Amino acid sequence: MSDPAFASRYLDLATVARLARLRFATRHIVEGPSLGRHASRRAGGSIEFTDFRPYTPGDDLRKLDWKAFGRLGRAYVRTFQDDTRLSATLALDGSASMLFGAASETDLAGSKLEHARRLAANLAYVLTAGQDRAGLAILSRGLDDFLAPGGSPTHLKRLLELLEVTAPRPVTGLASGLRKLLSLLPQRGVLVVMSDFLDPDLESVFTTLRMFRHRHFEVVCLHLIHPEEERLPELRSCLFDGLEGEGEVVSSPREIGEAYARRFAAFVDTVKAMAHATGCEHRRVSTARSWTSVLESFLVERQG
Amino acid sequence: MAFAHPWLAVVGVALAALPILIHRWTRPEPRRIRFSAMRFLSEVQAELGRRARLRDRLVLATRMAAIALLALALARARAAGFTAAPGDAVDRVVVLDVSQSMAARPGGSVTIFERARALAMERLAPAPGLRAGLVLAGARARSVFDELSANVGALREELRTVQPRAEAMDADEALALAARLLARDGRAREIVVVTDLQRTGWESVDPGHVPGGIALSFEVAASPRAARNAAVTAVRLAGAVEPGAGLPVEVEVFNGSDRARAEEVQLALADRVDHATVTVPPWERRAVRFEVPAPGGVLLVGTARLPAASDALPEDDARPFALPLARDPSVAVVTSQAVRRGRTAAADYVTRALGAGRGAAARPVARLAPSELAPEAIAGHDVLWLVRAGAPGDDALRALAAFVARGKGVVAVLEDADDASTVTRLAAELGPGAALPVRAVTLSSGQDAPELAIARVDQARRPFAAFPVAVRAHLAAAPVRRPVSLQRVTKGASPDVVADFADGSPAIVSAAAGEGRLALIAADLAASPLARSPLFVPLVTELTAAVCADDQRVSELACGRPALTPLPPVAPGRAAPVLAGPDGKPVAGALIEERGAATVVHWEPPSPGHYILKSGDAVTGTLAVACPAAESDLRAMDAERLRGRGGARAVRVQGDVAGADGEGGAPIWPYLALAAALACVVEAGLLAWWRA
Repeated sequence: MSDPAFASRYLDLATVARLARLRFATRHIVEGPSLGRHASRRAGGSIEFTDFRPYTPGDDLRKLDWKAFGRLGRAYVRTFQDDTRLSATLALDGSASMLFGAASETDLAGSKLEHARRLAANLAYVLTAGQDRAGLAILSRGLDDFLAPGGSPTHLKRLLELLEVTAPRPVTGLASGLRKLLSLLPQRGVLVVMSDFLDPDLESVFTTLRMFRHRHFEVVCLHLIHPEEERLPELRSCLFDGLEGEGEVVSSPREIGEAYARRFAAFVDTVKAMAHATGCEHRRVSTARSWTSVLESFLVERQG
Repeated sequence: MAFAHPWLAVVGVALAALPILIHRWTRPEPRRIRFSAMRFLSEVQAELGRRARLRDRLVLATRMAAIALLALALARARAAGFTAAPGDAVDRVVVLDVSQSMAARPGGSVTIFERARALAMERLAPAPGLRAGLVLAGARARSVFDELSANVGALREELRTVQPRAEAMDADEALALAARLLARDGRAREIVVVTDLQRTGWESVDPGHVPGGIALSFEVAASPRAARNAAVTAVRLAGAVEPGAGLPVEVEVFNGSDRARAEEVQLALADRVDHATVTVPPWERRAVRFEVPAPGGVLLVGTARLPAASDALPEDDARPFALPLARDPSVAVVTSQAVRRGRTAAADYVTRALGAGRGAAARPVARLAPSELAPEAIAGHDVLWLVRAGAPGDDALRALAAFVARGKGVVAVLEDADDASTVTRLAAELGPGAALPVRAVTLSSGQDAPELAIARVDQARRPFAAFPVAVRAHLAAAPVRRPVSLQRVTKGASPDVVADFADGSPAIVSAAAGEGRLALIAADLAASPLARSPLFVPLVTELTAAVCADDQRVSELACGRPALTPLPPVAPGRAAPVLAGPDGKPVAGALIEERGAATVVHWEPPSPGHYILKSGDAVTGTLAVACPAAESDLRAMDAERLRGRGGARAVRVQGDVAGADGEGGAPIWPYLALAAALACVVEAGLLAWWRA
């Protein structure tokens, strides 16, 4: 896969260049429909040669084609039929709570949703650039949109377009969306959930994620948190208006700030504990940190 | 609840709403924020918001309470504590103390009288069903109206203009007058006394004399801590003029404070001013002595001052005086005994003794027959000795009584039944003004008169004050034949009995009678060795001086007390006397008939100063009128003592005085101030606890 020729507002050339060398590594044995970099569940591997692809750090050196290296001076690996391709689905929380942090109602820059979109866009690029498949699911009250995993440039373009047109929905209901998604994903793969997990029924959410795990999906929970929802602003009086129609609360952040911060921290710990209890990976992603460094560190850590 | 400053209470209670207004005005406009984690926010707000609202309300409430309580305290709230509830039909008499001590200005602030005026105004506030009276309690009690009135506006108008007087208060008379105004039964009746509860004015008052059914309460305008005061309390001659020396004059200074004070004293006479300094211990009097040249007249007139005193009552820092200078009194012996050669009668002994004890320039002792007892004949004398005067007729007795009542002296020697009868009739003619502690009893027929020695004398009083202690031994050696005995009519010892016989019966009595004095000697002088002893001359001289009006003459008159000037028999065309005050204006006087004898003039000098008595162009006397010395001690008495004297009567005392009521009338403003402070502490505690 060569660098994409199109540009999306969620991808920029500098980031694409830096991310070109990174690949999404899975921590589990996956079952992919086609040959890829990842270890296959099938023992012994495939005997049928399929193609050459440029060597990237981490590739198995036994598959390095030394002859091509000697001839061309560049390293290429031979791909065989029994190498599998990763199928990852990026599940994006599109509920209204993800709008927190937006500059205004029309300018969503700074919001958790924008952060998630950029993460999803670039992660999808990394996946497809690594011969893996990336799919996209938009969750709010249910499964609002779904693009099955694919690896072609055209597919990536469609994924990016879908990211751009996604409109936030007022209510969070991740569990039902995930259940629908489970039924649409027939085979094992990776599920990356990008959400703030401000769902009133976390039990159902993680029960559903447990079902993904039962079907041998690797589940990564990217828990998006905006600094200003972690700690309330130092103001004497605020009128808090719920993004998902929860009503209004007049309060003094100075009075309740400490107690709220403790409550929110406990929530984050709860999500983390529930994720671990269901065998999911939990990563705390603060929107105060640039999405590039988040993605980079995420990928680097997974590399091993 | 009542207030010394009601307007403060109204303003303060209104200001109590200020914290709420400030809280609303300063409440910040909430900033609108679209928020995601509403669930957690709502949970925390639900938990802490309740507490915060409760805290805010408690803090606001304590703040409002502190302001309101402070305002009520500053308004000097006191519990109303009166028997009548507002709206009840009540008859109320306010007795306002207008004595001199009420003019004191403690701490340089408002006078006690101004506080009292405000308290009296509260008690005379218009109310449905209220009929009121106002009694101004000075030396004489005066009621504004003769009857109670619903027109409290007129009483309040009078109250606005009344001022304290340079007088002591006759509290008993004031309470009696107030009780008379409340004589009509059927409604709730109250006497409210507004006073400084001065110890010297109230110590002897018995509230139990107020009739039952009338509630009695006191509003005390002074504070328990007496204001600092210094005063000139007396000016007197310290002795006779010694040859080559000046006239000794003593000025007595009172220190009404808790610390010893050194006071500069100024003695101002017509032609000279002398200065001296005296140190006076706390709450005591000390005299400082001046030596001044003896004036030519019969009076030493001047003013004693404390020029540098800075105290609460400056009115008593100066005292006018008019001191009578000693002179030989004019004496007459009234006797039926004729002078006989070879036989010395009792009247002879007395006449000789009187003559021997007088100065060379003195008028000779006159001798009058009982038939000469007429007003014109005796008016020019100062003292009459009745020695075997027989039984005077009614006219003569009336003349004798008028003589004594108008300030002269009579010494009666009791030798026979006529003498005893004369004394009895004279006492009856003098009336309650001559409360003799004895009555004369003649021996029954056939009974011999005993011869008794005088065994006990009162050496603190004349005539024996001038005698040494050894006089008793001399008296024991000079017995007296006693044909007429004196029997005590009052229980217990009387100070008027200045000598007793060995059998305990009175021997010599010296008592006030009206404005004069009456002395009795139970002795047959002609038959008594006493008349021939060396003691007799000084005894007669001193006894004459004891009853002498000159000697008893008051050098000053307490302001508010009436001055009585006896008139000699008025000859046709003679000008009536005039009393002119310090400002030269005449003081109105009233002629008073007195028992058919010559008349007296009743004056009421209105203020302290020197008053000149003139008859035509001639100055016949000078009267010094001063504020009573007792008014200078500004200490208030303990209310408990007043209540204790009330017997079964409940007496309420309200005000800043020791022993004041703690409920239903006590000052509650200190507790309100304390409560205000506590409210502030509670608020601070609430805020600190919430922060923690």
